[in-house]
Amino acid sequence: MYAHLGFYLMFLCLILSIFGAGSAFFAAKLNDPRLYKSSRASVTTIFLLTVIGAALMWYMLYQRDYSVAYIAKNSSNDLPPFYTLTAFWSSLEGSHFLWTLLLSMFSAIALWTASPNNDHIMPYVSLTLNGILIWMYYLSVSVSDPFIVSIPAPPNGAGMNALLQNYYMAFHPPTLFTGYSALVVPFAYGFAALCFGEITEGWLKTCRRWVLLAFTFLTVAIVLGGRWAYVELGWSGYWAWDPVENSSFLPWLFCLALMHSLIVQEKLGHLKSLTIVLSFLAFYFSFFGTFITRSGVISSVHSFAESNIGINYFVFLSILLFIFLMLFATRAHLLLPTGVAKVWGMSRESALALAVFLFITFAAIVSIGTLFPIVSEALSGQRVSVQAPYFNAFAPYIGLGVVLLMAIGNLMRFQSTKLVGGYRFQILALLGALIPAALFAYQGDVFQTTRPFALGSQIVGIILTFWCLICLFYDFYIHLKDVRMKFPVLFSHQRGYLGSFIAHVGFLVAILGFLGNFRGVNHTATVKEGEKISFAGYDFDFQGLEIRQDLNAKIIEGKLGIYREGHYVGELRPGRSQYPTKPELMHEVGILSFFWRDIYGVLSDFDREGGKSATFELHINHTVRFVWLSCLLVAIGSILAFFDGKRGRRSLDAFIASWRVQ
Amino acid sequence: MNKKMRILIYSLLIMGVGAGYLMIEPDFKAQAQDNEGIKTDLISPQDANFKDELNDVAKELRCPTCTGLSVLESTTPFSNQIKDEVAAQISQGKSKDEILKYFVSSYGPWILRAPPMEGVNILVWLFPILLLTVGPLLIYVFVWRKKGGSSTTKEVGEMRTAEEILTEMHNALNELKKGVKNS
Repeated sequence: MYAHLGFYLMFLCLILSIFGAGSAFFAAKLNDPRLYKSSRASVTTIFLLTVIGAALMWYMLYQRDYSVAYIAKNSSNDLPPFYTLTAFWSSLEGSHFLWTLLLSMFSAIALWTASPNNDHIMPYVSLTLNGILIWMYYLSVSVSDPFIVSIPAPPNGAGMNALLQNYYMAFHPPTLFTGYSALVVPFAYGFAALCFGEITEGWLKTCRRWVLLAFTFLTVAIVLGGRWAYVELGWSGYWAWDPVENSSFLPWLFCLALMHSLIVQEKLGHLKSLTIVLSFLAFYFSFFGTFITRSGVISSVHSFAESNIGINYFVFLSILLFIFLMLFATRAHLLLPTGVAKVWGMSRESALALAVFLFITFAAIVSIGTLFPIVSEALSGQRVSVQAPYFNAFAPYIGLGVVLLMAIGNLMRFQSTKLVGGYRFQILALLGALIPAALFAYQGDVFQTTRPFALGSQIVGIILTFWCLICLFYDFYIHLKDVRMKFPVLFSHQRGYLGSFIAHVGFLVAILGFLGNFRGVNHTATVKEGEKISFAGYDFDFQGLEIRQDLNAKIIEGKLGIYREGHYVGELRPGRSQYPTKPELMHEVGILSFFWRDIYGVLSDFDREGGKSATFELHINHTVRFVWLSCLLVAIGSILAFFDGKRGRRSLDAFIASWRVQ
Repeated sequence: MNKKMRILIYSLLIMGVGAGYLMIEPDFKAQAQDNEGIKTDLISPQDANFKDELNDVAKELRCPTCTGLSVLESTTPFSNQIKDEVAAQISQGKSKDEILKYFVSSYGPWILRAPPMEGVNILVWLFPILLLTVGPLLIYVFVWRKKGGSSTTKEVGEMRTAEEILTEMHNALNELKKGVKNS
């Protein structure tokens, strides 16, 4: 009954979005603001209806209404309340629905918060948003309908995928979809700028904000996803260059590139068409990633449910690409750069352009690597795998380039060949970097790396990262000195800079983290109760197996007391869990986390008869915490930058053209 | 205290809490340690060498039943079987290349985690290298050397001199004063 209502609401939304697109189109054609207002009203209504639909879905989830196929598939009687909430997005149809909900929400927000300066392009923005909504609601009523009813209802559901019954999985998908959905706004503005043939005055500020919002959410989502892999999958890593990870990474990279090209556009009025292309790509790749991972083109652990959604996606993506290319080819020449003298050369804008180039290149490499198995099979019929070693062969060089550019670029200024601090400072900074680098190498046990090349690149990387950090802090000092060392002034007037400083530091912290745990140390041992394992300076005292009940899961844990040089440092409880509806045993890893290293234990196997012996896989992962910390810093930085009301209000071209004292 | 200062203080607080969370280390309680029953698991240098070699090979082979993982990282039965096979071949004195070749001949190049550099697969290796080398060159030729100011830029009005701006501002002020008087 409620399911039918939900389906009806989705269908209504589809009709409304078609109406919204039509009225927005005619609003632009006939230049009639009343038609635009009606399309805005339709988006608002769509959002409200979708909220009701989502509420229905949650209501049915809590009612455990197994006559709805989606609920029967993803829920069961034993599911704890918290995971019943998250069952909403635990499979394809539900995630689509969540995405639709967020897209409609951001569409409504974008239309209602538009600056009056953007009035002339708003019909085009609304047209684009409605166009995307048509597609999403078309999916909701056809191939990805979350409200399908299957009667008779089974007495119990099949149960949620045990891998998803994890704290991080409750937050990762909504965050990711929030990031994806926020990207629709820069995309719509880019489309609108092309249609209108001009970048209007409020354009840049709006785009900048939405890009920062999307970037914050995408960063947090990716790190949460990594954290989930780290605590749930039990292979002691957080990034495997899995197709699904790559497909969340690509929009992030384009978002990053877009952010940097927006700065050049703001300050100098250049790189306008690049910005438009990037805003398109960032959004496009959020769908493209879904296409390649969910359509079964590339199978992946994340393909929890594959449906025949592929062909629909293929058609949609082709149409979208075609429209964009046609529009770009016919309209892009209208977006001319401003005639600012003395641009490019050895200056900050060149560093930014090169950074954008590196991000795009990285994205190209990642997408080629992800897609190559299909290409190879089509070209030569040969099946190949493209996994971590391929990506790891190139990623360090991109990282190196980014770090070098970041250090030099931040000390450069726009339209100026001068390097702040001069070359003398560079030498001092490089020398100064040796001290923290030595400390880091000592604390992170870097010298345990045996292979000379790996050791060498690790050390060079650490020194360069600290050098870059010193350059960033020096630039921060210069900015602070410019406001007579008054931090509140910097905070209130240059929040964008402050945010970028924190975010850049966060990025470098992540690089340090990667460099530190580049080589994990691991050891596998089988022990009887009361025996000890000695490994990497720690003693692990196996105190026996325990069984306990945790919510709906039964967990078998091995207790390991950890000693270092005779001192007790903590306890590790790696285990395996059994969920009522799933036969297989899931990993419940034990992690003892310190600032410099994580002790990570996995219970690989145990004596199922007597329960007296067990096999443990122990890892010492260095500087993993740096990676989590970096996410916090980047998020704080981008949120600070988001709240800079002064930035982007007037980009250079709009500034000169409109500055009249009359 | 104004709003901005409050925001500043809050954000610093958040940062502080974050940093504090990362700094927390469990206290090292000294406890008596019984030395009985220690499983002496000292690895001899020879064994360590063997393990390095095993890891080196296992890292390059994919786990056939999972995505994204090597046989080294995964613990599925299939991967364990492959690891055992690798260990056996290493103890026979085979080199890494020989072992990898053996696996390629029995499973196809699919078993390798990165495609071999031959045939069509050379494309996937050449592409990034080309991008990274030719890309900056293109930027240099088409963007850097052009240095802006060409005929394809938009007219954004002439830059005015300081005097012109001053007279404009005076005029504007006079207008405003007139407006005040009139109202």
